[in-house]
Amino acid sequence: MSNEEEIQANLEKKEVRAIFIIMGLSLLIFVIFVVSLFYGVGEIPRQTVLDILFNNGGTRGQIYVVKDMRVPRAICAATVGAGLAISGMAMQALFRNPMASPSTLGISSGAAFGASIAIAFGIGTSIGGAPMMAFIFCLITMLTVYALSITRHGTPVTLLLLAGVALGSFFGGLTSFLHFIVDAEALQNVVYWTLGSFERCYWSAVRTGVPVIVVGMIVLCFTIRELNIISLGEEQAESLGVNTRRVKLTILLGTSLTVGGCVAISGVIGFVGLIIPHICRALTGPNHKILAPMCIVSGAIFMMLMDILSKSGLILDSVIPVGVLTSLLGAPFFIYIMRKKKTEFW
Amino acid sequence: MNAKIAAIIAIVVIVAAGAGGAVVLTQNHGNNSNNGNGGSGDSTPTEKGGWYAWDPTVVITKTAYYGQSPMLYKGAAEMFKTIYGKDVNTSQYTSSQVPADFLSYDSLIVAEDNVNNTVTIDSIIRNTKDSGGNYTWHHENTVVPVNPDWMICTGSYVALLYELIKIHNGGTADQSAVFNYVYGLDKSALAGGTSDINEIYGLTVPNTVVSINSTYSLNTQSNLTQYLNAYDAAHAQSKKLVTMMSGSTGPTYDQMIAEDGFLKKSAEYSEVTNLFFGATSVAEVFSSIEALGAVFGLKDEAQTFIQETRTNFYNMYMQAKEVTPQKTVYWESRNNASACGQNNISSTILDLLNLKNIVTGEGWVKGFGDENVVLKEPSVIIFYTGDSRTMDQMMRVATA
Repeated sequence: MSNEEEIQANLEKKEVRAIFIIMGLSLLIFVIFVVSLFYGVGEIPRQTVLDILFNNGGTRGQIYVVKDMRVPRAICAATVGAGLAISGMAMQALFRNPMASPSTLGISSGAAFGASIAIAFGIGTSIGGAPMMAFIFCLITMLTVYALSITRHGTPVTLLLLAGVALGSFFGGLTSFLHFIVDAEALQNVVYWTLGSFERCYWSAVRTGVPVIVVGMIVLCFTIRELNIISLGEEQAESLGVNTRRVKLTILLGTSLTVGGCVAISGVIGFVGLIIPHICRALTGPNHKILAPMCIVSGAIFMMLMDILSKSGLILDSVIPVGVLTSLLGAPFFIYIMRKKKTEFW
Repeated sequence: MNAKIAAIIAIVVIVAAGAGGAVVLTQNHGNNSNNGNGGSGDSTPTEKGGWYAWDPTVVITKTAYYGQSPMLYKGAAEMFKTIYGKDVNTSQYTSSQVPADFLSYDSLIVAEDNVNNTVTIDSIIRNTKDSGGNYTWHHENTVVPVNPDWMICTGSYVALLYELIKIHNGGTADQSAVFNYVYGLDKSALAGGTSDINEIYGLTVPNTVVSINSTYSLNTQSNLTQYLNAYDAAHAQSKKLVTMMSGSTGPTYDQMIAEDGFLKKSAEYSEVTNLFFGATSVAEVFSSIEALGAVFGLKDEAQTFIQETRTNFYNMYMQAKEVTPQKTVYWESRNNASACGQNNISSTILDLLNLKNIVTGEGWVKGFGDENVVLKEPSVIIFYTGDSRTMDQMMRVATA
């Protein structure tokens, strides 16, 4: 066996192993999904939850809580986690920057501002309120960032990044201004939204937000091959026949759809788009063919676990916004992985 | 395996979890609704779904009613009518039949000096927390000139004073009789504000009244400047000015007496008096109404107003008590920021309406949770006006 064949065989072996890991994690999603139905602010015995799911048991209130509140909430958590993770992965590959995440392009800030004005002033109530306004502002931000980055020589990644940071700061400033001028009640809600939570995720959120996220994720999945090439550098990618402009636009569109849907469902949940791709990359390597599905399942599992912690009352005996937990628990874990992997981290 | 296929399989797994679960559960849901299982699930759910499922009585009321407001009884009486389907019979019991300990209150009037024409009021200001995490309260005997020239306050004090003036005049009074006193009003009382005085009390604020920022941030430079500007005006025109506000301001008493603090600065003006009232219970509301009356030489009128309100509440309470079984209630603040718990003005109103609150925490409770509401199926649900959600959103309709 030649050296080249040996490398190829090793790669294939690694790929098969990774696919088994992904399949295993996919099954774990179902287990965690059921476990998540056991937890909530309302007290329902676990046996009753299982009876409701499999034996048509429970009172009307218990059935409503499990089927119409906890199930859609768990679906939303899984989808948002998966969406944010793959978006972060795509951003990091596109910008060849380990710090890139959905918030880098200002998308999260734009969406948060859209939701905030809906909550504070009731703008957009007729078209769906805060979730829809979050989605609209997500798209507006993405298009503005892209428009600002267009030059005669294309759309340089650096310009995209800078425009994203600038626009993110701008929307962040507007949201802070909103905090300053709204009354105390509205402020509380705006802040709650910006902390991120699945507290208001019902079937309506599944119907309106999840399809958008899934479409966005599929769009991103169709750029996997190009992501591997573009990670080497734009010039090299173009020399290999990749239409970098089209790829960038596709990734921006996919990310906007995904993040817009996520923010519309849950508010702003930070850090997931940053840490999950890094952790997955540390575990499976930089090949996006493996990394993408790994990010999807890991993001879903991570977010469902965070949501269980958030609503279980295990911390502070009260519901904690999930965005707070992702940062508080994700950051130390991220630092641990980063220190352990050191040089091979990126 | 093709990478795109692997990725899409992963997505499909997640979607399948949701879609499959949704289909199975929806089918089960249909079976469950027919099996007559336990609890209150025996009744037929309404078609609208959400919290309408157990057919509760929904009440919409105004935030501004439940504080130092002349509308406190009116708000409760409106709820009574919505919940029990009839008006309160306010003539069933007379004032002499109301037990002395029913909604009793402690007077804040410490002394009255008829020679110097002043009244001393026990002013209450929130201070730092003690070791148990509870706020301590600073009491200060404040000497106030009776019948001051000007006042700065929130809209509810203006409305209360107007009521007292009307009682004094035998039932009617020109609005100018009260606005002659008003130098400045909390901006929330003006048109478009959350406590719009015109919308709530029908009072039209003259253009001469100055809009003042909330007392909640008294120590900030911009708010302090507004108050000091007013105090400068009082000083320049030798007007006696009384500022009346909640004792639960943003800064604590210690912060306000520190250098550059609100109280330290305002002490430089001999024409100015600051009065702080508590507003966490109906008793404190009555105490502050009595104090307000004393400051404006309308103490008897204040007593009349309080006695009438107590009698009305007593009638309401006795008639609500006759209703069995006792109804349960859930009271949600605007935009679901919190839920009414125990030991506050609103919970007292619930007690007077003979409603059992499903929220047991103290004050206004954050994070009570929709799940708990659904599991406890309260027979009455109360919301405030001015909520940015639609009625269906408030009742969690179209969420299932």
